[in-house]
Amino acid sequence: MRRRFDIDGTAIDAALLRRPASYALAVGGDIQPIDLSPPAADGTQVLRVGERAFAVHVARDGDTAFVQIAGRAFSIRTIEPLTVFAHAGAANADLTARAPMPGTVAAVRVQVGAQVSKGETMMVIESMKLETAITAWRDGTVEAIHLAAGQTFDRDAPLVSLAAEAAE
Amino acid sequence: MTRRIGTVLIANRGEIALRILRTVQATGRRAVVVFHALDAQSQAVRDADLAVRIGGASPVAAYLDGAQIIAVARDAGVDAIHPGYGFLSENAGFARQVAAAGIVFIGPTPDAIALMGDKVRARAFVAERGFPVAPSAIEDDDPASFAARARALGPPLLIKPAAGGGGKGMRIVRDTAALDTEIERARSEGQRYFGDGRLYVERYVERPRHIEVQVLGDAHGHVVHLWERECSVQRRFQKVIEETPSPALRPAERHDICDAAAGIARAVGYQNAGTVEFIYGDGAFYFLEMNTRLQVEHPVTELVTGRDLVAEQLRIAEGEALGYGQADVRQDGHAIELRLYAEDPARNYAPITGRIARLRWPTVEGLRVDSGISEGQRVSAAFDPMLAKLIVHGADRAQAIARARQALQQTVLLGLTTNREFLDRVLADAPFAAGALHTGLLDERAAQLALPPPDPDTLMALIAATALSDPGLRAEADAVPALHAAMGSWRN
Repeated sequence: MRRRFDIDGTAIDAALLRRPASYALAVGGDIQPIDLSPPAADGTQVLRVGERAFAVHVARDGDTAFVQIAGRAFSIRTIEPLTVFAHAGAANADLTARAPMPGTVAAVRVQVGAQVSKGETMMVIESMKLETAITAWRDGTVEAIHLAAGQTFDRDAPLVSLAAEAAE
Repeated sequence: MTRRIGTVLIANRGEIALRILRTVQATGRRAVVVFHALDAQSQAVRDADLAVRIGGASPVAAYLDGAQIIAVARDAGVDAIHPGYGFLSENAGFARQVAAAGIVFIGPTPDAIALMGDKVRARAFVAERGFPVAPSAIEDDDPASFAARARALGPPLLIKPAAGGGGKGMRIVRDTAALDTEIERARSEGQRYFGDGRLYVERYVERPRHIEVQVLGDAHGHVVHLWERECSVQRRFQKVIEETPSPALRPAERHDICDAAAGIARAVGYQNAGTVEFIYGDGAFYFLEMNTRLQVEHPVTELVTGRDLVAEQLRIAEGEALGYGQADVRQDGHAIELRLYAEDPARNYAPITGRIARLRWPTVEGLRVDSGISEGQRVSAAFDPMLAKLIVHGADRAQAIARARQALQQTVLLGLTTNREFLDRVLADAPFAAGALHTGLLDERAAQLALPPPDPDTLMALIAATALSDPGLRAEADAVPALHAAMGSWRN
């Protein structure tokens, strides 16, 4: 029942525990009884944490919960321990430039196999009326161009990959 | 002279398609809506008397395909086409093709669209008639000396595409050493957005206010203004919060700027609804551009004047006279519009995609919601990230702000990041409350406007709600005796 919860980029480990009548949440050394009422007609649920009560709205989409509390909405992703491990072991993170935001490819400036030097523009993306140059973050060889000019993409989509650097 | 419009095709999508449809139907007319497959579930499509699917190489291309839309209009036997804003609304060629098909284009004449659509020609036209414009260098006057003439104006400078609008392709240059590269970048954007790389450069007014004036003209030469809107709260040259009256203008200035707008509309022989935009700073104002269409922020004008601008557009398009004069158009109370965007203000307003998991609009006195979204709908990167507009009316500015904050806090919108909390922080920020607005305000106040991280109690509550709403996690917890589970967590 231990999980990692990613709250808009902040990761917290916690465990959900069964109690005779309800549940408890263990975070660090702190254990508090918790309860979530069924939704009222307007969708509001009452969340109890220890002595405190909050009116919340909760919606889910797979491993992500969307929670509105005190007029503010959050998205919380639940990560199973195995997934956390897999991510930590991913060594290819620095090989691929990913999209910082959804958008469209305005231009591709390099070809697969090209030698690029750090700072060189490899691709130009356009998002919300702004052009952003995707530049080489180090010297290297272009291994893959994942999108062609005119194609649209979502956030985190791979754009350009550089070949892994040879071990020296 | 008058011609009854019984059926209107709405060549648009999102909140504005629905807003136009409401007035079309409320005035006893039939509404035909064209839609791309991505919009098949929209409220406008569901409520239309007839909805016709259109296609294209991209979703946006479908709404830009004038020939396809006119073919639908012919088949459906519509009397008129309302273009909304964006897409085909300021395309003189489309307006001509609509007229050639024997259909009324709800908007100004193609000549007025063409004149005002060419920002350089429009500026010259306005200046020749004695209305104020900013110092500038126009590329077309002598392309070879353009950069030199621009540099001679002195920084800061603002580069604009000659064919542009809506902030696309505009660049501020504070260091003239960067002028040449910025000109090339603006040219490339202008070329892609408008198929026209010509530019002009204006002296940029620091801390400017954006104040615009709504005008209406009929086919009989009558022009009135419907007062101003202040739209200074912007990010990336795009409006975020608009209001009327402007907190900046003294009564005499208000009359001057509104009279100038009506004068410009008269000089153009303007028919239908339009907006004259001005830059205002240090007590002076000058002409920026004229938008020959309904504006996104038109509802604030409707709330203070009590006039339905779409109904006025329909009447004018039928050839009816306005039937009232300037003295009949009053400003009652204060109205504010908040644009709700699917974007993350903390990441430079990056657009956000996702599915709207939950949506509840609140009931607040004086609140009007113009929305293009519904629960369960996907928000794609294919279109503009504006989801909806919350528009509030109050007896005065303070009451309008209080109601706007109430509306934001009570809105339930889950499933994707929006600028809702950010809007609330802007409304609560001291310069906004004091009415001390300028177009750089959001950048200047970025640190104060940034959302604070949630406190430990809130983090605990969020994890509790997440864990308890996860049936799989609950089942796992149910399967483990409490004692063992607690021991497991202690061992860690």
